[in-house]
Amino acid sequence: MFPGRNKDESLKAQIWSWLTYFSLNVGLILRIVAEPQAVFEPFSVFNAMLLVSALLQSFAAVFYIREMWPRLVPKRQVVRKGLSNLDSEE
Amino acid sequence: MLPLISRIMIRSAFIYLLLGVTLGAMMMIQKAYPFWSGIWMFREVHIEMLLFGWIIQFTLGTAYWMLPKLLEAPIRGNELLAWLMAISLNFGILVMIVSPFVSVIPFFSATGRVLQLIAILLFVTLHWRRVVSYRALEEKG
Repeated sequence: MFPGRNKDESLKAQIWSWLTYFSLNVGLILRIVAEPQAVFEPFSVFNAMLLVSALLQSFAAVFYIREMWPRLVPKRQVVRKGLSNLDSEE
Repeated sequence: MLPLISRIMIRSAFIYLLLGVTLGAMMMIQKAYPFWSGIWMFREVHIEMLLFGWIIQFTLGTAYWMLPKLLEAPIRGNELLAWLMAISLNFGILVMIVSPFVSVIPFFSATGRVLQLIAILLFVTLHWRRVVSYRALEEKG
């Protein structure tokens, strides 16, 4: 949807998108498991899971912004870069 | 073309996302490993940043860019009103973020909500005519 998407679908080319996907989903799953348990079993492994979950969800936001920020450019700037594998459709 | 107003709104939304998620993560860590109970003072700020600063602002900024354009210039409607929408929304968010800490000033948070309401009304006004299909316009002639 946003301009400047790299059409190359290799893992390397879309690393920030994949990192966002895994960080967010692993973070949410850890949270679903750990948050209710941490109430009943304080100072257990669930607290560590909650910490990891918080960090993963924060990293997901960072990775997502890292992917999207450079893509928020007008079409003419995408074209001017001359990168043929970038999708400049708006 | 991705207009400047959309770029500013979407980038502002990203900044609020980063700040809001950071506060949320600190609150989660506080639950697991208490380090500063004062973090809970920022709960309203966290909600405001993620609800209005991130989700709503990102949606409005993207819709301003993506919804069908008018067939006559200006193609996205009155640009001044669009700037007022973006400014009003962001001032409203900033006022609401500060309001939990300046509760002595009367009507402070109400002012923030009114600014946000103005932004939403401006958004609806600007986009009402843009929610069309070009086929329907052609049939109308």
